[in-house]
Amino acid sequence: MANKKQDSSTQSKKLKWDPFSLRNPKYIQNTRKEVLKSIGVLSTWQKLANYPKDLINKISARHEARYKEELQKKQARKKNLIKKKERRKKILAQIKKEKEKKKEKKDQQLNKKVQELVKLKETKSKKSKLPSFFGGWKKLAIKRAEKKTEKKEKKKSILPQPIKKSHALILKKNKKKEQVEKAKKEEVKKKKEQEIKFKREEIEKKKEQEIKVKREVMEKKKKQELEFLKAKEKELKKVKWTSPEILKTNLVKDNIATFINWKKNISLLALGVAVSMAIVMGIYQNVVIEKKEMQEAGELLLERTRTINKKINLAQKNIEEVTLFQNKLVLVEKLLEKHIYWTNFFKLLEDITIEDVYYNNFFGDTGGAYTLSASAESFNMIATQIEILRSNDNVRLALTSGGSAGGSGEGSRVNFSLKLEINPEVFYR
Amino acid sequence: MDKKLQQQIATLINYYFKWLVVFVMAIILILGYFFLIRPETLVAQQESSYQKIEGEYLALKRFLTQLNELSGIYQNISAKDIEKIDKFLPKKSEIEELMKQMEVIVLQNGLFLSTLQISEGGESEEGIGRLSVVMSIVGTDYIGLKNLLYTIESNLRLLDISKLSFSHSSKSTTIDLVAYYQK
Repeated sequence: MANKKQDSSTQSKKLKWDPFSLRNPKYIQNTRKEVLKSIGVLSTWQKLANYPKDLINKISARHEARYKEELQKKQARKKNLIKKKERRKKILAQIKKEKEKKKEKKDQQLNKKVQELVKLKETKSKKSKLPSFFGGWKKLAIKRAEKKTEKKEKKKSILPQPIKKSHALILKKNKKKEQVEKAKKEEVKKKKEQEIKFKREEIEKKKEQEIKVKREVMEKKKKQELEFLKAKEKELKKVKWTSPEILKTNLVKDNIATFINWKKNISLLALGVAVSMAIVMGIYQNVVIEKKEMQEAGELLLERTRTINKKINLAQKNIEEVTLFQNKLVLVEKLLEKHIYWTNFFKLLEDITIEDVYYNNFFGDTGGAYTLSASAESFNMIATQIEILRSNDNVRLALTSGGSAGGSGEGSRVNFSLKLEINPEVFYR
Repeated sequence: MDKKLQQQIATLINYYFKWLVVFVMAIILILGYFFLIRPETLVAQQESSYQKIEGEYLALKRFLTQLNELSGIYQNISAKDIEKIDKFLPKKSEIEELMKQMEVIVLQNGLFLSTLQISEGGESEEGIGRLSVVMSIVGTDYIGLKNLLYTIESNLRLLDISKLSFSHSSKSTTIDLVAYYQK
């Protein structure tokens, strides 16, 4: 009981915790909607359920129509596929046929060639009047038989047919004859094919045999060459090295005598000496020639230098004047740099002197220091004059120790002495 | 000699004779170089001294071209200019000429030359001769003095006034000046 209770409790728990469980249809009916509502999500099937029935029918009809259409399409595809397969089969069959035809043609061509070859051989055999080993006699016999039958048939065709025999019998005979002829022809054909096969095999065998023979011959040759070389090597090993120049004599057993070919050796030595001497002499000659050439060139150059020296002497005479002139120019430049311009000094003096001030005299050199006796209208004017003098950059010093008034009344003037120092650069431009 | 030995010598000679020839050739070549070719080349190098001569020749050629250039430049200077420069700095002292020039200058400015003394000497630079001139002029006012100074300064023969004394009251001027000439 307790277990049952536990199970029920667990079920209720499951119902609570597993709302989408498919094991409980009741739960699906009751709770799913609620759960979905609580979640706020509606699945597609629920939407469908909510639609009106007519609409659902319409939709299902549409679905059916679509399904049918799809089915038809599938069937059509299948048919198309089948058709395609059939076409492929046909094409393949055609290709096969073509291939077979080609094969047949090739076989025919081969047969023709073989027949021609056979004929050629036969003609050769006829010419030699010796039948071939394989069935030559048989062939001749068959041909003779064929010729006989042909002659008979011709005779029969030429001869008048018996009138008494009935038409049916004649037909039967003709049929029999035809059958016999057919059988004969087939036999002949078979024989011919057999012969052709046999000849082919023969030709192949012959070719193989020829190849084998050739190979054998080549191998033999190689072996022989190798053996020969080995033998040679052995001989060379056995024989001691001797110069080819040495003349050998083997008159006495076990005693080899060597002789020097003095003529040859001396001629070789003489040739060597001559060549080396020629090289040395050639180089020496070359050096001597170069020396001579250098000497000649040196002499030429010396001559040229002499002529140039003469030209230089002539030019130097002319140039003395030029050098003097050049030196003079240098001196003139120097003097011009130090040329004195007194006009510059007096212009400066005019610029820095007031209108009411007059200079009585002037005495000085280019040193720039002067004592001037001057006169002004008043002492005030003297002061302003000195101020103006001092304000100029070129004036280094402007001094006065006062003045003394001379005369009386309106024409009275103040005489004063002025110490002035100016920049001596004023004299030079 | 033993026969065997003879045979051995013969084989050796036969075998090594080519090398002997080569050795002899080499010796001849070496001896030829050291006793014939080398001394000859050394002598040739010493005797010819071609490069030295060539160097001298080139230097002289350059000097000649420079001289020609100089003379060309001098020839391009006009004779008038040369004359002017000669007057600016005469080749001799030319005292007489100077006396004439001084009088002309004074008279040109409407003044009267009372005394004129010219003497050689004084400070001299290299290549320059000096003439010291002292002259006293009468009848000069300030403007006359200024004009006189200007004409002396701009005279073609270079004259530098070294001392100047001017008295406005007596209207007299004394000028010490220097004239130059090329020594």
